Amino acid sequence: MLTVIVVLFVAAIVESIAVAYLGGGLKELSGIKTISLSEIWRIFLEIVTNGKIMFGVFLEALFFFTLCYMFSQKDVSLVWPLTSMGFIVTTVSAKLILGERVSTLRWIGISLIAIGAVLTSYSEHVKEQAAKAANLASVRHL
Amino acid sequence: MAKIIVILIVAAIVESIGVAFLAGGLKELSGFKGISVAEIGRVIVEVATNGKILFGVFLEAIFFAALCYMLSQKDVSLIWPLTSIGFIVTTLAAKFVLHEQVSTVRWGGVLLIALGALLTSYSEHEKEQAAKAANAAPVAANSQSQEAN
Repeated sequence: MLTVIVVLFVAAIVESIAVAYLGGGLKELSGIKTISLSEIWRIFLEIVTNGKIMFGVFLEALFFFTLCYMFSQKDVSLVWPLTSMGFIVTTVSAKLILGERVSTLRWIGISLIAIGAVLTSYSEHVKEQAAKAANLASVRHL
Repeated sequence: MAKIIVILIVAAIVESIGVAFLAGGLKELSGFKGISVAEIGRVIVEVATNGKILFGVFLEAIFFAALCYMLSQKDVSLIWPLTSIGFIVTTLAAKFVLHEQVSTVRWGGVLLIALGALLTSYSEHEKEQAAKAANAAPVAANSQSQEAN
């Protein structure tokens, strides 16, 4: 269990940095001016040659593999609530890396979201555990 | 802002279905029996031929594209927390589509997320208003100085 928490914490940090770089890089794009094949190709080239976006995508891929590893080890209902701390870590990254101004109101909102996300997904875990215990009890009765 | 919220909700639905398929498919894998090139090759083939995993990855890719679009338009500190709308979507789906029992704790969580999302979006509204006021102020000052001349 401790390993999963450490992996999750590292994964949350990796993802938050990824999102910050992605967001920063995407804002540098010039935008689609017309809808044509050559324009789509131009944007595609602009994306793959943008260092920030590529670094963000690389970190996202790393996060995705970590998530897949955790899903194969533990129940989704246990892993998912713990990824909620990513909401706060990402906001810290946006502030530190992109210099976004985060108002007190927004901090309060994000904290409520993080607590709510933990409660929502953790209740699923409790439910699954209860179902398992009930199954075990009925097996014992047999 | 309304457009972003609509994209967010659609993206959240796509992602929650994606995660369910991905997790279901990954649990079907037989796992590594040893560490060798042949074994890694075998697992890659197993992943690439698992329909659930491929469908899950496809949906996750759509979610990612939608996320990229939203991040190119608005602040990371706005968009990222708002992806929590996904928790509300999955809870409503559990209750009204799957007819599952939803506990009071989970509804409490949904309420907090909704409240948090509301405050976070409102903070963006405030920021936009402040930016507008800041832009308008120098213009007003300029026109006053022109009148004086």
